[in-house]
Amino acid sequence: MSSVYIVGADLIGFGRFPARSVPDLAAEAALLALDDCGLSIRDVQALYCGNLYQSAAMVGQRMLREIGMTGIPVVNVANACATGATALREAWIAIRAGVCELALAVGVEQMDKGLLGAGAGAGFVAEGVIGSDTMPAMFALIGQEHTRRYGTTFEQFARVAVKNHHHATLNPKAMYRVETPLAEVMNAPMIAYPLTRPMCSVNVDGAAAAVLASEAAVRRLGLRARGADPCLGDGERPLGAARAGHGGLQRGDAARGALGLGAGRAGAARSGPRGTARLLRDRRARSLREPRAVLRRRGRRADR
Amino acid sequence: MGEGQRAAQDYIVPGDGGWQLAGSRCGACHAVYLGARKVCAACGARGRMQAEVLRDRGRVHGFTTVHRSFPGVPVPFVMAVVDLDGGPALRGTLRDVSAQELRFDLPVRVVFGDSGQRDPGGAAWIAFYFVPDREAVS
Repeated sequence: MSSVYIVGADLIGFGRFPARSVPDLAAEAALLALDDCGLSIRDVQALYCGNLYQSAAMVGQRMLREIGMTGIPVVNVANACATGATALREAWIAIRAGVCELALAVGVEQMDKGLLGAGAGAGFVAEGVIGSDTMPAMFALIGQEHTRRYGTTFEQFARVAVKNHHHATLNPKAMYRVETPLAEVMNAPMIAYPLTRPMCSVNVDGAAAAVLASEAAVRRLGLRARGADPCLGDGERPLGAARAGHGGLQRGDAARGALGLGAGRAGAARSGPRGTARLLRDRRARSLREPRAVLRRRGRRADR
Repeated sequence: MGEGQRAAQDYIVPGDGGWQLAGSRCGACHAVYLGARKVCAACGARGRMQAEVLRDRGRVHGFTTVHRSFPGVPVPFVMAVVDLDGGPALRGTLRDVSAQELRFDLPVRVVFGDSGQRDPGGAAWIAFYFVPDREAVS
């Protein structure tokens, strides 16, 4: 069976956008991902759209109404925290099965403030009487299971949040981008022990999209030079290894530039499967060697 | 159990000596569940589930003190997952426990009481709670 490639991926800047619609957020992400690989919505043969809060509202079809009603099959996916990942997996399955060659996977959510969970219904309210259904309380119990098994401490859990907040400072699309030192995390208001407020995910609006392609489509559309990796299930590489550069890559020379390849080697790399493998290998080695900033500079240069 | 009382969950049922927790056990693999089941989710056996009254003793498997909840819900309270003697594990609120004694494997009892909530007819919703079993051998 041939491999499946992620040829384009991007996400919108996360934040709160009460004036915008869910399909609108999804459309922005979809267009960014298509731009990332230089393709059009007209190239897309199937859409897998992940959204939880409007799971009965046909978000995928409404998104296509905004960016291109091309008549392709649409599947709306809802799977709790794994909703977007499931949309991606379904796109992968469709291509892997040979049903289509190029699919778009989108994950989008627009959330209210406040604790996630079941909330109060009519009649008897179990919250507080028979445990708690808030997400922080549920995940606190899961954390406590880790403590039970491994002796994990409050401080160790807090350090995970410190690390995650640090990562956000490096991500221009994150909503909060502030360093959050250990003392601040540990002294913040407790939500459900051992989780303080900065250890809980912020409710946020956002969307991300990925364009997946079969090996044949990658060849036909000339996407090889983008250095897309086979993804998921091939057992070779984690999904996160799918991209080297960052944003707005084009086919051809610009993409090769973004991947840090000289023109001479790029010519060889394009000559066939073996060349592609070398390209991927070289790129991986390079991305391990070179600091992120260098890759980012290359990406910017390629954009011009 | 008297007039004006109503079980807050369908697995809370009247018994000889008061309220009790209804469960079911698989005759094929002996898995135990809270409430009634038609099919065993552990082994898939059909037609083998038998009703069984759950024990009212167990030990704390995991716990968290909840400081924030939905609007109007009094906090803090302790949520615990308890491994009931004979099974299964059950999630509920642990009352009358001090921070000092709260720990993994704390012996607890299941008690039943007025949740403080009323149905539209004025009947009290009866819930179950965990309380420390201070007479148990730790």
